[in-house]
Amino acid sequence: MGGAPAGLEARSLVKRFGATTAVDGIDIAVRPGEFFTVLGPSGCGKTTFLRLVAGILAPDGGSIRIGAADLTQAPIWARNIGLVFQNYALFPHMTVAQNVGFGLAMRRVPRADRGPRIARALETVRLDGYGGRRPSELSGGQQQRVALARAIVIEPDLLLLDEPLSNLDARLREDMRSELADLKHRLGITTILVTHDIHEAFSLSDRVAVMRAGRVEQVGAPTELYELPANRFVAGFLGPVNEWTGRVGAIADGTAEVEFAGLRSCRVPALAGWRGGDEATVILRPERLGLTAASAAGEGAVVGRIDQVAHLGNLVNYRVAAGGRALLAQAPAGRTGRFALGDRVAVAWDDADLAPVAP
Amino acid sequence: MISGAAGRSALGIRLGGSVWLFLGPALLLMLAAYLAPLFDTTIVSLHPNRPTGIDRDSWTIANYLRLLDTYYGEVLLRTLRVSLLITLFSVLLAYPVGVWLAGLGPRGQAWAILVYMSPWFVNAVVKSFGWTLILGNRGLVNRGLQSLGLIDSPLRLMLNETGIVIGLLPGHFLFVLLPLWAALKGLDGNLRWAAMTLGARPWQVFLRVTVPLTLPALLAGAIINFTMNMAAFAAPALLGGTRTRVLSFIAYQVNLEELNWPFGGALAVAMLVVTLGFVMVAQGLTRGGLGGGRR
Amino acid sequence: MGPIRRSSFLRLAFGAALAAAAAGGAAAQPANKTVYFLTWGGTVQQTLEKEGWGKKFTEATGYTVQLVPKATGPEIIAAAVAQKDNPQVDVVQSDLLPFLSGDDQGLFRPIDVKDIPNIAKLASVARINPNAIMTYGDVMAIIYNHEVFAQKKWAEPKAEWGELMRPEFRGSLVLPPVNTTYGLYGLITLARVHGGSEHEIGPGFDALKKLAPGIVEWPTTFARMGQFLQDGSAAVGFYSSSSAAEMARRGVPVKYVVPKPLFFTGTAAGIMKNAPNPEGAKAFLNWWISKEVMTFRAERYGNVTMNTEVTSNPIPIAALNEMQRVDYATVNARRADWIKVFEREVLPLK
Repeated sequence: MGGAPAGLEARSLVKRFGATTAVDGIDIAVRPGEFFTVLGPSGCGKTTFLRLVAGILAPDGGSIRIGAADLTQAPIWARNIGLVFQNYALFPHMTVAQNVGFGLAMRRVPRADRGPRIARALETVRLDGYGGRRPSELSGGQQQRVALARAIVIEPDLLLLDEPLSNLDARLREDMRSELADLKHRLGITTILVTHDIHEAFSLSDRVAVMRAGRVEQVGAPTELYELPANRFVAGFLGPVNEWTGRVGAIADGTAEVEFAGLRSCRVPALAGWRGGDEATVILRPERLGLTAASAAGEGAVVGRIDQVAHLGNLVNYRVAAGGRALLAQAPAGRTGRFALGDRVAVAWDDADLAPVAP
Repeated sequence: MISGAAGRSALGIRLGGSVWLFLGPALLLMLAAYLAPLFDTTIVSLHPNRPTGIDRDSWTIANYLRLLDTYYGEVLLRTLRVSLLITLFSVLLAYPVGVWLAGLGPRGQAWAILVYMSPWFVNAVVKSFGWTLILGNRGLVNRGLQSLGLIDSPLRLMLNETGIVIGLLPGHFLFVLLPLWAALKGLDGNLRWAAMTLGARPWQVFLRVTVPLTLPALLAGAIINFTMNMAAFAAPALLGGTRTRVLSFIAYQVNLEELNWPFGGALAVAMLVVTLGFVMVAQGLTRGGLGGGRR
Repeated sequence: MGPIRRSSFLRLAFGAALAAAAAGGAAAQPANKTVYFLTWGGTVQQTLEKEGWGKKFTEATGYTVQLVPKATGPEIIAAAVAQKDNPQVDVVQSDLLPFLSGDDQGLFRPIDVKDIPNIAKLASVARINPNAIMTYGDVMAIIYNHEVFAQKKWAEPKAEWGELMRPEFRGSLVLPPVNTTYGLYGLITLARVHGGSEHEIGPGFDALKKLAPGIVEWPTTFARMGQFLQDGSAAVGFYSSSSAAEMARRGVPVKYVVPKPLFFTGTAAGIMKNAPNPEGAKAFLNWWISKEVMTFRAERYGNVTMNTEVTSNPIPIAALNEMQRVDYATVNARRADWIKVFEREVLPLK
């Protein structure tokens, strides 16, 4: 659909509500055709950012460009943006077809052309034949798809999705997510998703920006963020994590020897500015911790006792009290290698899985 | 045992005595306060009036035939004209005021509603009297305009239909405004933004989204407004004057001055029928007029 | 609204409620100690309540009077008709005309000197029929705003009814409409001025039609007429002399003349048939027409009282003999037709 996709460039965006600054100098560049996600806890300013891009809010500073055009001051109706709301915001007094055709009517698309385009859009979201229904006669998932069809039928330069899956139940959400992933490839529209759900963000996005308190903490591909979080907040927000703080020893060739009380010392890539004797924090994802029976403890392993077990179906989470710490470990739920509460286990890891983080 | 009986009632198989105990007061009130007087009025309207009072032994439709007289036709037309005019003005004002109101902060809305309600803090007679001080030949408006040199002789702002409209509009406007305001407040704000991202300009959002979704509320308010205009008494009596009588005043006069209850009853029944007719037409509009009406 | 109030069903319900309320209070105070007096609010209410005559009545007789006030004569009689089958009031007083139409409907019981000794002191004209007496009355007057007159350099009206037809009053005149008692009197007065009478009303309507375009408004009540005379939107009106005096007392810049021949407008009173408190009713009516009360009414409100012992009447009762009598039976019989003519042929003229 449409011509070449456009990119978005937001520069030094600022938005204040009274004394609070909701968006505090954001720089985000979305590449043409990219599926970009703004991820963050509620109140981080991500929805405000979306509304600034859509034109619902006017920024107090900074600029917004879509493609070559500066749209900072452009009215909403002139931005050619498709927006899907969290609550779908379908027009209750119109049929599905009228909802989808609304944008076409506003754009003065000839009546004869509207029908086929509406039909195509409904087909794209697998709702062919639903054109005559009212939104109230559809399920939540179907309404969601109507909202999507309504947004894409106008061939927008930019598609904005505001927590589109959060109102759906778990199973529908899964379906819808895979459908979105599908659509993303078929449509090729530059898309910005705003969500607080990391699974949503990671499974759909080319790149993700993590926001906190009105600022962007880190932008990168999902794996990059997961493996090399810029700081403790990003690390923690993206999932459970073991966070160890120790003392830097010798640094050589960019690799630092860090001593942790109760654990063995580890070799990790030194962060710029680390000096011997400094405090240093590293993180280790639970799934990178290996558990074996205490009797089979290898060199450098720490022995401890399991004090919490949580079965997640395909995975099991363990908490191990070892070396005066609570170590989180995650293992596939197999028939072998299962441990029970109170078992003595040896915990081992590869230093290559440790990532240093800024405080 | 008890739960068994309750279960039966809940299934709608049989209404137990206890149900009537609950419904009783409501039904009694309706019967005593609404239907019985109406029924009695209708019966009385079918008896002839004699110098000695109502002749309850004979029956007649003469009272209704008398309504066909052109004098009552004129009064009816005037009543309808004035009532519809007030409703029209109310409806025209409702959206600008309602949209403005719904956009205010909570405190602002509370105060503004209080202002729109203020006509009801004053007794209708006192209020109409106040209007005469403003609208009279030597009233505030005429003296103001005269001192500004805008008019030579006073404008006739009361003792005519203009006076009735001016006197009733502020108070009765509330009944169009309140339902519309509630509907506007209840509108999902995202609908507006959704329409705008799809290319709608604010006036298009208003015509294609706001109006269709709030029209039922507006019409409901308009119906209440219209029935109240039809039944209004004090303002038409004081601001319309003796020359500009409306049906409600004629009904008062016939009942209380001429002491002719049978004809007064016929007037009341006719008024009810006409008002109900208009209400039903308006309800038909609400149901049929909104794009297919499937809900 | 009017018609709804008077359902017989409601009357029963209302009566039952009143009876229950009365029964509840019966132990403390015997029900037959209170006399219910259905008449105007206004000056009567002032007399009984503010001016303390209600208390004096209790001191004199041991009964208490409870006023049931209405706005106009017809409303008083309408209220009485509504409780015809189950009266809640004892004494009724209203304009003579509506009172007589109420009497035609059999509302009132006979009264005589045996029960009410003071009747003997009334002038003979006051004894209208076995069921009704005139308590006091009034004479019709031409009322005018003297400030407007001075400003426009108009001559003060002479004491002649023909003055109402003065061409310069066009656009400054207020007359009560024919569907009110005083409006009827106005019609009859104009008929007489032009050679007709209540038996030949045509000239009256001709005169009204001539006046109608120059009439500011047809006010139905004294207060309403006062309002138009006060704010200067009208300068000349036709109403009773005591009302004119009351207007002046309330600060309206009006004076009045009482043209000859005098046009007398009577106030009638009587006792409801099956009144709940017949003895109290007799006591009250006897007291109400007594020399003391009537003297006060004459002095305070300018009433022309029917009690011959009153010396302070604004017009001596003897003068009433010169007045032209109105044939009330004819007027009551033709009223509806006249109203019809008025509404169709006079009122629309502007």
